[in-house]
Amino acid sequence: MNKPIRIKANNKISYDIEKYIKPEMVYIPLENKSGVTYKHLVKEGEYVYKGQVVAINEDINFPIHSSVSGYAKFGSNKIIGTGKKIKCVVIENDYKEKYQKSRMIKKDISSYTKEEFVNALRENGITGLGGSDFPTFLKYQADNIKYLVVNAVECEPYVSCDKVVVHNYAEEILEAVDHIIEIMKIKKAVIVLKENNTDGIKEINKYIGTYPNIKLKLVGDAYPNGWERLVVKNALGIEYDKYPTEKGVIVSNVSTVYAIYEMLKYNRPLTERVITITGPGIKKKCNVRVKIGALASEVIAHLDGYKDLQKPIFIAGGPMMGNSLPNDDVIITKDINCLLVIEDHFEKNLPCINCGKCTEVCPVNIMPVFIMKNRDNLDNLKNLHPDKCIECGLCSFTCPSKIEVREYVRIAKAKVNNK
Amino acid sequence: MKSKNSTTSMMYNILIVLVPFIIFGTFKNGVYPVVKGYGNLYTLFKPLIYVVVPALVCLLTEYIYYVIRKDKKSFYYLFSESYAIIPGVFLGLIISLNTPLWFLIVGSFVASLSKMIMGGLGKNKLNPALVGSLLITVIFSSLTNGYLNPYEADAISSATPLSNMTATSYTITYDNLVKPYGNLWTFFFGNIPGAIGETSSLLCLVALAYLIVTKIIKWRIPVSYLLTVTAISLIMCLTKDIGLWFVIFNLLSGGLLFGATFMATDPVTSPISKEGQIIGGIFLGISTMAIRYLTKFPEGVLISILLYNVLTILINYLTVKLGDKKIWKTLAVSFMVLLAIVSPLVIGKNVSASENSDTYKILSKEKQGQKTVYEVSGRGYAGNNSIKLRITFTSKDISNIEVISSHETYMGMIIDNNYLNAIIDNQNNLDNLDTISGCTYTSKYIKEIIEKTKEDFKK
Repeated sequence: MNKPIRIKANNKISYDIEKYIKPEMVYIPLENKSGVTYKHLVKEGEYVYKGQVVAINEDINFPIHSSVSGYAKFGSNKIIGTGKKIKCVVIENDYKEKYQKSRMIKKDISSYTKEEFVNALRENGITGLGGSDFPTFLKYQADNIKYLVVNAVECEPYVSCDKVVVHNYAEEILEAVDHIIEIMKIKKAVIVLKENNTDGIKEINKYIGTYPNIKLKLVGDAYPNGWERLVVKNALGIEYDKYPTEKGVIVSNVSTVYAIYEMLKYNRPLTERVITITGPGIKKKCNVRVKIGALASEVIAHLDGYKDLQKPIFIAGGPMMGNSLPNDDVIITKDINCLLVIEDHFEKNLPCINCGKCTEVCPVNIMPVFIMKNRDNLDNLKNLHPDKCIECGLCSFTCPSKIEVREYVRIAKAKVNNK
Repeated sequence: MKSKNSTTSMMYNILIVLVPFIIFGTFKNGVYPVVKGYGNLYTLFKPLIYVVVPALVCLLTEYIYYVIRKDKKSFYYLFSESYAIIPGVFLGLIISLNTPLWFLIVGSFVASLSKMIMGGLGKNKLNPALVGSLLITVIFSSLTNGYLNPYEADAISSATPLSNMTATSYTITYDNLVKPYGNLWTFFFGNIPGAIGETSSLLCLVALAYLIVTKIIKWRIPVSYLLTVTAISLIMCLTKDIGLWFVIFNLLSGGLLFGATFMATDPVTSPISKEGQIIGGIFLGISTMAIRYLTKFPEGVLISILLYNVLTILINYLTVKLGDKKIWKTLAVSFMVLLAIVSPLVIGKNVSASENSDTYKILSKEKQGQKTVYEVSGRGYAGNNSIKLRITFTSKDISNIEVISSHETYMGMIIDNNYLNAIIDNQNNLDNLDTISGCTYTSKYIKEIIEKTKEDFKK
């Protein structure tokens, strides 16, 4: 396996979490980034409580909740993180934050059984907040789990929301992990942090002494060290084929763990998350707690807006894996962890000179250069396994000819997966 | 997000790395001979001119090519995105100083054209500088008049170390290969006859280290290349009873380090996969040694790199076809390693570690009164028994020397220079008779044969 790469970027950002939890409108897209569709359950003009199920994925019975209370509208199309325009349910915020009555009942955090816990994960719409948008309950359904790995590595440059979550909620996270391993009957939990996140290490170390089953593991500041496979390998020395659960490992992002904490403690569905808003094009770089479904444009306007850049590009997600979007009218869904405005250093593509640097950095050891050159030859593509690609973007990053190699691999991946 | 890697900076970094080589070439082949009193102002700047002219020709060729294709590009484009001058600079460094200027222009035109016809930057399958060099130094080598600069032609008056070896039928002795030029340190610093800019192994090693550390070149290629050459020479040393100096001699001669550093690692024409790079490097090592010790071409580096460029097409094709079948890749690498270990047995078959003095033979000896007529044969530049002479002694002295037959290329020059008569005139003082520059070896060998015949006659 190729070594992870250290990427330098100016990441300085405050550890405080700003708040913007009063959006005018909340948008609930009826399709997620992987193309899973949701069926809406509310009618036009119906009053929606905060925490009420607005739409549901009928295949696995997985809900999306309203993050505010107010009246529902239809028919508006907005873009999501992939840049695709999706039909949305819109809820006009009445700023009352009214919960349904059933939500007011709180359960004792230590009285959950495994079944109740998995059910709660599903009913409260907890998904992986690291960017996968994968329903968390599917992982915790598995039997014979031996290890829980909490991924707080967050290896993409600029992105820092997990870092501030660790800094601000270290105690809560440890408490949640402790309860999860008790409920799931897991022997050992490992929290994985980057070694240069000294502040996070300090915070965790303050409390970790009282939890004998939770260990701290440090990894280097390199990309893509936060990739699930590498995290598991570094934390436990375990390698797996497709999903970590086959080897009895569950990997959860640290923000997800915090969402689980709120769910266990306050019976709250996932309606808020912390995102990083940063980049040279942002006046006030910060991590901000937002309502899921708020518009990025509104949040950024609230944070003093933009700096003048010559050619800004707006990216949803980190600079390596994120997508550049045509405008900032993007819905902040559960999988968006960062909004980034950087100068577009558009450099002209030069021809590929076969330098092979992309094959030297690829974490899954495929050969992006050959995939690009054989993009029209399906037989050759199958040999080259573009389906292994994790879209980390290192090939595009490293290419000296500034070719968007990842886009070619992504297209090839779709071609191979569809055949 | 993009890294700071840039093709342009990679290419110009290579060009900057070449600057010390150009300075070295100018000093060794221009300044030094002039200081020693050979040549004039033109000689002083000749190496520099030989680097600049092909660069300009290449630039112009690409410009005209694009004009003809009705796709006119600015010179800025040719500099910053097509790197038009780089093949020209390389060509200037790897050819002989004695190449006529007009021929160099033709060569650089062909070099640049070969790049453009194959599709321009990134698509060419052969290294353009080597295509030009193939034309100049291999196909029309008779036009290039050897590798010696004006000073060397007079002071050393022998060919390059490797053509020296080919000339002496692969006789590998320290006296034959290294001593005429000094010692191995001379080889290391580069004060040996050779192409304009590639003789200094010291500069090559520094450049190699720099380019590997900055990750501009694929390190597996030069490393496996040099290791293979080392291994093959070592095995030859052990099996043929040659001193270990031979290993270093092989590494330091014939522009091997220059080729390994710059030519074999040209990104466009080298394999991409890691295994492919190793296979390519081993292939280079084997073929270089095979060409050096099995063929009439003394310099194997150039041809083997061109062969390897062709092999690269196959390697890259197979890399795609094999995909992630690791076992085949491992097998291919092991096969190449095995081949490298076995190959010295074949490569070393012509090689001998001692002078072939016993090829001297007296074919007949007739006494006719006062006269004694010898017919003898001995080794020459073209190999054993290549020279046959009829030598007539009258009373105690040689009165006539006649060439019966010879395979020597330059025998005509010997006759033209009246060298045989000069030998007769100086027959008692042959050691002090100078050889003729241009056919040093032939004259030296004729002298040898005469000496031996004289010894026999005195008995």
